[in-house]
Amino acid sequence: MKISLEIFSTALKAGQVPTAWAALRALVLQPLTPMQWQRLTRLILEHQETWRQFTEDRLLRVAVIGTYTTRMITDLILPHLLAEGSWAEIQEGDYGSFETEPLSPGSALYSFKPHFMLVATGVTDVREWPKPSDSEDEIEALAESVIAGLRTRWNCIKKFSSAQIIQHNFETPATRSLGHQEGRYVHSATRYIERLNKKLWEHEGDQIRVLDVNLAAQYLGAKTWLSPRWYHHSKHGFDPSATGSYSLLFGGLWRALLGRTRKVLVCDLDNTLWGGVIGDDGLAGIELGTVSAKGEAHAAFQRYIITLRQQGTLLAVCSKNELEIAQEPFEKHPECPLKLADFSAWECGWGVKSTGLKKIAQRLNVGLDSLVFIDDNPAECAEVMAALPEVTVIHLDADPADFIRQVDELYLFAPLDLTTEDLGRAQSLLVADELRIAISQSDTLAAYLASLQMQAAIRDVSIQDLPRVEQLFKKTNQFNWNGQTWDKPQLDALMQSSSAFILAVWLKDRHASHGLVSCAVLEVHDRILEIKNWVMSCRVFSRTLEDCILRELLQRAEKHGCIEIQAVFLRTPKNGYVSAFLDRLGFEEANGKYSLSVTLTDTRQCPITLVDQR
Amino acid sequence: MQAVLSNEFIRMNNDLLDKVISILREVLGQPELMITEAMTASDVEGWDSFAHINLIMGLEDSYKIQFSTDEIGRMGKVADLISLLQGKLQQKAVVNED
Repeated sequence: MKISLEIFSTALKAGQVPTAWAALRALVLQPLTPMQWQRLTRLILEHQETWRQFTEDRLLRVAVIGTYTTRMITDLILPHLLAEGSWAEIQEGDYGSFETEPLSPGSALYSFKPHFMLVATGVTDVREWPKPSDSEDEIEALAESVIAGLRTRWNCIKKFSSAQIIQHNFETPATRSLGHQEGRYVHSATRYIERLNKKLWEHEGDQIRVLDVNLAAQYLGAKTWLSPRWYHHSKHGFDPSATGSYSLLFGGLWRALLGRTRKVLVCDLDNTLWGGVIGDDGLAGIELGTVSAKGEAHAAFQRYIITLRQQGTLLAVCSKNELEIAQEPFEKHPECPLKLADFSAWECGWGVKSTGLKKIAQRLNVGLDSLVFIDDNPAECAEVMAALPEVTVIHLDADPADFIRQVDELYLFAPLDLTTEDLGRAQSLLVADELRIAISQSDTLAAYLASLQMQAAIRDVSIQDLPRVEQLFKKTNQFNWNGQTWDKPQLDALMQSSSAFILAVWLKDRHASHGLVSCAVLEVHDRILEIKNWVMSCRVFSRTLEDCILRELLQRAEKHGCIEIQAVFLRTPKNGYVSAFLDRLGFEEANGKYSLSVTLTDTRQCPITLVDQR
Repeated sequence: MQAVLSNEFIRMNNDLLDKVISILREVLGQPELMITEAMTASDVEGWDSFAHINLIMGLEDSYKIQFSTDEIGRMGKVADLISLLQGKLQQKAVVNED
């Protein structure tokens, strides 16, 4: 939904903070100019107190260092982070500081104690290019020396701070001296950049997170991305007019890093998934597939949505229609790529769409801020935006042929790491649905749970599990004891420690293998087993899995000679499930710590078989 | 004839100055800002290199013109900017007539 800066400014000045926040969330998804970013940041800073209260003092410190002018980047960080509910303090390193500053432990970079360090480098840093006479080995050595230079600095950053590093990759240059043969010879600029980027990706998730500016440059066009004029004039690593493209990419990675990747795509139907109105035009009358160019465009859009589903995005429908009529194309239309079973929730009716969206969030057990709503009707979009500022609204106002790009270029569904759990998400939900019905008829619940033939494996994690563990800590809101998260290098360090361990739980049942659904970081000290944090996916709620895991924890505690289990629990509006669990088991609270004696045996009987193999 | 031309020149000049002022006000976030042709960037608080880039981009966008690398570096006084801008616009008008 296109929003002007004025709407944000007016709402903010009138003290209508939720309205201003909804506008901000929409604004950061628009390709604003550097001037608009500057104005937005300025407006936010003018009302600093309001926002600090609004974000309940959730604070992230971000340092930006680079080899070129980074001003355009620093101006867009605060709006993006605030749009996801965090206040941000930004520190910009001196111009060109990346070469030297990270090496110095006394640097202001480190005393700032950043949570994130954004390294803005790029193709303009490549000073030495391979020559036609260079051998493959020489080119490889040259590339390795570039990466080694970066690695030295990453190592220092890791040593002198606990910042997570976000590293730009290299953009394929617009200059191609080999012309149409650029792709052919290893020494070409195009092939050399490919080589450098490949090396960077090898460090992804380990030492760094790659910000794929090459992708942004490619989408915009290399010629527009980097303007030699601005580079020579004021050392801009990308054209100021490309800031909008940079921002979209940046937003995608940040949402993923903060565990804010959107989870559900909620679709309108008429004139969104097909042309025309199914209730009026009927099955034969709607435009979908080879019937027309527009029909082809709608079918292509549906196929794109299927791709999103395959990557782990859940799909839902929110439509002003009769359910039976709305479902007809998915069952009977010969050229409808999406099928009924692709959707995890349906809300069809004649009420306002915000009500439907609330029901969908409830049904799928996700927060409203996990939803993306797409609709061609501006009135529906405006209604949702006003009623539910948390929902991301995309008004499909373009030609249907451009719907894919309107959704895709916002990078809303881009995961931090694509895990096997992402791929099976929609399937696990089918079970969740059956479970909901069983719970409503409580006499059948025990029987139903038994019929699921659940098998759980509870084990210490191995190195290949860490991306999913990181993801689960970051994404889980409900079964989350205190919000603490760890990135992969930190998890790595915990694995090496003799007093800490990381437990992971896999679950499968007769319907599906749910993958790694729960994990806990634990530490043994002073005859206490401390739960540093414990998370569990909401997909496996109400199955007594938490009791089964707790029993394992009690056994582990005993084995390590502990007398009690302790944990820090911080109540949030979302983690009521944990709170109920603590009450049920009789955890005792003292000074914010909750403890439980290891002699407790009163956990529920779990209809879950423990197995060794996951 | 001469007098007419020069009036037109002055009017055009004023229009351009107004445009420069309006963009600068937005760039610097100072809605009351006033500048004169005799001023340089260093006379105006906040008119740094970043503001300058935004000003140039704003002017290029408004008038559909492009300044060269050399020209961007040559803008000292506001008057220099105005005359450069004027030259650009005349050049563009000639090209359009062709």
